[in-house]
Amino acid sequence: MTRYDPATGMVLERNPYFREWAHDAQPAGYVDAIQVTFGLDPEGEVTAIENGQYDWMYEDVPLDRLGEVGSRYAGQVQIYTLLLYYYAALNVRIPPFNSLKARQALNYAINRHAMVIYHGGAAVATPLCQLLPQGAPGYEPSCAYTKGASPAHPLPQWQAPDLEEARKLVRESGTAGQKVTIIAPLEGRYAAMAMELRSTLASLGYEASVRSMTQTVQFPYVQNSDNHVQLALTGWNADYPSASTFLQTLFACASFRPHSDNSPNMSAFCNPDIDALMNKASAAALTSPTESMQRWTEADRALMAQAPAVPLVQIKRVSLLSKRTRNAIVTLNDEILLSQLQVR
Amino acid sequence: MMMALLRRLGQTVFVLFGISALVFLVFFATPGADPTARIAGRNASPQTMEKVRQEYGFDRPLPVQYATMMKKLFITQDLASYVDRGELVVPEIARAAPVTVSLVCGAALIWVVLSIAMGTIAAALKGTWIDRGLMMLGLIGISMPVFWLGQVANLITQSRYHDTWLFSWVPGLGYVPLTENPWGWFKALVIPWIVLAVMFIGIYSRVLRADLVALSGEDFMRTARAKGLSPTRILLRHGLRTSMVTFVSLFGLDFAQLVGGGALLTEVVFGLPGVGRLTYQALTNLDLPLIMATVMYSAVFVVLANAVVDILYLFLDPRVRDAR
Amino acid sequence: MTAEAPPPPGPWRQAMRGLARNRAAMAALAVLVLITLSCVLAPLYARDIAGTDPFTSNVAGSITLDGHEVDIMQPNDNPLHLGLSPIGPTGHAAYLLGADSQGRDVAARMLYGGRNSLLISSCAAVLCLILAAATGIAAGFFGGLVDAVLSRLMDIMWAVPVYLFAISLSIVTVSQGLKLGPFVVEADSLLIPIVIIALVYVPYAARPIRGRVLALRQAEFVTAARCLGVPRWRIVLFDILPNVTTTLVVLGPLLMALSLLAESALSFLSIGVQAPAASWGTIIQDGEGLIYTRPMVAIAPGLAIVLVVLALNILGDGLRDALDVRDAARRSS
Repeated sequence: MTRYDPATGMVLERNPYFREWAHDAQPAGYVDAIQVTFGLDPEGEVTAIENGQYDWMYEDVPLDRLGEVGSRYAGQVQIYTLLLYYYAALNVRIPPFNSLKARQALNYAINRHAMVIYHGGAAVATPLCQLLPQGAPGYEPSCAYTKGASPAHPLPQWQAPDLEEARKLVRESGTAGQKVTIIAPLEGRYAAMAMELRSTLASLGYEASVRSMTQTVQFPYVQNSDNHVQLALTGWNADYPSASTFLQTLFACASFRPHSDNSPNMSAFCNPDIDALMNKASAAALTSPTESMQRWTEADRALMAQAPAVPLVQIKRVSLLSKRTRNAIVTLNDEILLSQLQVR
Repeated sequence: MMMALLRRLGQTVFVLFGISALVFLVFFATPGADPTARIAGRNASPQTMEKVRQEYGFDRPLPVQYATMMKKLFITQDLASYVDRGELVVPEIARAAPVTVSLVCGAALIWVVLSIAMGTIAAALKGTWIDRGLMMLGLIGISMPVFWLGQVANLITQSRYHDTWLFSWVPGLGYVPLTENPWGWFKALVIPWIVLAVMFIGIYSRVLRADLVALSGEDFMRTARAKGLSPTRILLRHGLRTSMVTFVSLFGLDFAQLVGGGALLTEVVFGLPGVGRLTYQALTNLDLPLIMATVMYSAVFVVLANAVVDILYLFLDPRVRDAR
Repeated sequence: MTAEAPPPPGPWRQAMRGLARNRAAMAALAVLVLITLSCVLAPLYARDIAGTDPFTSNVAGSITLDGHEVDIMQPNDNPLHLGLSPIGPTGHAAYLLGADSQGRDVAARMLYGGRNSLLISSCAAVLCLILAAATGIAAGFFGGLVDAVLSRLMDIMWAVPVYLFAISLSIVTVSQGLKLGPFVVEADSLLIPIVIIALVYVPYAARPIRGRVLALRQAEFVTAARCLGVPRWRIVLFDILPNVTTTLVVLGPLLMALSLLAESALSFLSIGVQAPAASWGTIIQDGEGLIYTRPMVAIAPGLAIVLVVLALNILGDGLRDALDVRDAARRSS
């Protein structure tokens, strides 16, 4: 790296002393220099790439441009699956979501099809009602909260919201009329999802409002128990494809650290039985992978029965490359390997 | 002369003090939340809060806080953003300033030329449909929200008609430094210039026309007519020259306000990384030190610019210059 | 217009007659009345004509047009099936201007948004006039130290670019609201933009008022009253104020035009009206994300603003001509 400035950009140049030692581990780059410019908004980025001024963009293609990109620049589009999903963490220690019924009600009521739409439709996103995303070990399609399903009898796929069941649960929980504040990032799709959540909560009889802040501020804010966040809208991206990065990191007793900004268990959820189950699953990974997988599947179901969160959608990344770019190699986690792009 | 100069300078110093006090009070003494929390940003740790309290002297009386603030802004210039991990604020503003200056200067050129042309033509053809049409255009220009006009301009030049011969030259949004690529700089700014200028063309042409029409009843204009000078000559040599006094003082004020951040909406819509957009980004991050600094710097700039204009007047205007 | 003290009927009636003859001003007035009326009737439109709820997200919903069921968010026609676009202008009562990215009826939101925009701008204009009249009259009538202090204060406020001033005030109030002793103003209250906008334009209106009062102070009837030993507050109330009203009436529409532009700008920067409530500014902001596919979402509220501001300016000009007030400000920025 030869130059870095957080406001405008950075330049990465070929390390003249680098020799390829193993192609699979660390392949030699095809490009001589990578110039990364910061500061354009996604709209501007799309235009710039379409016009050939830039080659690659970090952000997703904005929703407004997906149609245009899909029809006129289909050859330049890369769509790849991510272990990334969006969910609403429900704080199980503060009303109204200290009530299991209130948590389940929101899970029944939320329209996951709407959430898919906010991300650009079925080609880009899939409804998710479990806490392990597709592609993670132990993932077994299951949806406890959809029309005609229950935690005891889940369906394999999300069908439609069940508002009647949800309203019944809210009535039983006696939480109707309470105030709920959604803490959401300010950025585009989050804002849209937050408004949808607000509408759903309002239709269940809560007095709901949204407070938005930039993502860099929101993410630590919602983790800190001192801020008494009732409902945090957020996303989780796996560091590496394992079940524990989702289930244990987000819902184990140990990942709840009171008064800390680094407490990924935003629901403040702690259940010794489920903890034990997850530990078993983790331990079994070395001895018996199949058993481990099964245990993770069980843990996923058990967690969803307690509904410490409302999983919403799993998404794919849509990235636009310039006409002159070739050889886009995509890994599950590192996204596009910049060094392997070939630019003519 | 000397007295007038001194008085003007004294006034400037007073206004400078007043404005800094006003901005200070808005940010630190508005009832509501604790200013420490505002500066440190949402969700700051107790340590950060304590550091901020120490740094800004929030445990001490208001005048001391004011003095600390001014020192950090103008003398040591080490005011740092907490949201943006200690990024120094003053250099950030210095980096953004050339963009804003480029934007405002270009727009100013357009609006001065066009508004003089429109105002003079309308005054010369007073009462005709050309006059009414031009003034109506001016009024429409005043009535358009600049950010909306910018969006519509983007829609036309970036999307709908970008592929036609008319707009295919328009580059994507953003800024190109003049020193890097003068032609690119020009292409990137031409549309923002026009959009920013529209409202001012409206205001200035209307003011100029009204002035010219009012002047035509004045004695010296009648004298000129009596001497048998041609109407065009009278309008241009006598009328326009006299009207320029109001025009220039108005221009000084608006130009300074725009450079001082008034062009914020235009910068936001066109993605130009100037002082206004910096303020806007600080706004979305709730980055108070940065906003405070941009507001303070721009206010100081406006006051100083006005003082300079007034002092230039002292030297240029014979009535003031010769009065002792 | 604003609170008018019982004026001597002659000149006022004359002025109104003059205004009535001004066709442009009358047309502007008609436009204003029409727009205000339709905004007031927004709930009726949403419920009975469009049949939509403009405050609830409805991206998964569908409507019936000409007997066909149509999705509100329509899949884009491209080989990759990427993205969906909200329904465009339908030409039917439901979703007349199409939907926004939350699947809400833009036409109905326009009317509701117009309510907020008009309410904020008119309240801000009235509040600003009251504050400016108080400042201008105090400065002009009492002169001396009062005048010096007030005029300097106005100079100071004048030097901060209007939008920056408004942003500074917004940012300290928008997150937590305002607590003034027992009064708590919620962060999403409309009072906040009203007060902010009124405050930033006070210098703009106070200057011409002060000028008018300065001239009046020398007028014979004021001198006479003072010689007769009439208390000062009576002079202000019964001699000065009625004579300032013409200036106030002319400034009213112009200030409202400025306030409307300021309100839309603040809302556009998301520090004005807070979601899910709407104003024309917030709808333009919603439309920013759809400018490539559904430009109508941003264009329509913008046109509404242009129309209202234009009408207000024409009306202000008409009033100025009819009342023959020449010293009222001409500047608009």
